[in-house]
Amino acid sequence: MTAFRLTCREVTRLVLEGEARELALGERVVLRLHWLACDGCTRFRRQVRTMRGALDRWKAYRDSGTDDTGA
Amino acid sequence: MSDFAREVETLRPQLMRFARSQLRNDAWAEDAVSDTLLAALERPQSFSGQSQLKTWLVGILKHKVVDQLRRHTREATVLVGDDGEDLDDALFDESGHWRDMPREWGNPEATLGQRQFFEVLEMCVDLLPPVQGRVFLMREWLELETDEICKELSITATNLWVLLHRARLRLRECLQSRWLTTPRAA
Repeated sequence: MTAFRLTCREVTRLVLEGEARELALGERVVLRLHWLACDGCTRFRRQVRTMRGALDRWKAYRDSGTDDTGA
Repeated sequence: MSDFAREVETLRPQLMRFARSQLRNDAWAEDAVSDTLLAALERPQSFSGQSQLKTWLVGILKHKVVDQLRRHTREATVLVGDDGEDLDDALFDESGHWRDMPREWGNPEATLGQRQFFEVLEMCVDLLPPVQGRVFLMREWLELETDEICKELSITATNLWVLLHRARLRLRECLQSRWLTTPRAA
């Protein structure tokens, strides 16, 4: 059970856990409510998304790229 | 040496780099890469030529790397140095608020250029403490599911989440300091 109001620290933990598992509906709702009121956590969430996209593209690049940057 | 063997051999340094960054142990990485090259040279006919040679070899390497992790499970999960450290206390005050508000990152890939952007990312992943780095890449590079990672490393799901949490926060710190301040390469 997720408390209705979370601190930024708890929100951060949950956002990062969302990278490892699917969050429950209740968890997603409290996150949304928090983001409405918190610019810091909204920016943190955007940073995590940027990291997600970067990691996905980096993986594709290192697995099949012909680029020999690291050779 | 056949042309095929020569071509395979030219990819060894890249395979070594990938194996090292995943395994964080030079001896294990050597073994994983040797096993990979051996497997490739033993059955060149299984390389269909449909994909690139590198893609095929990296596919084999991933299996050999998991074999190594399985073989060295105990050592692979010994926390050393700052593996056990949480960044949380540095980021949040006692009431759970940000000490420093997260910044807007913009689009570092466009700012830096793709190559430099990936180089920074790779460097920051390599800078993760060993156990954090291993679990992080098992997830992000080997694409293993949570329960597979727990099984291979004999750790609990809670352990894994804590390690991944630490790894992602640390990675973010590193990216923030380098993506946003590295001047564009000439």
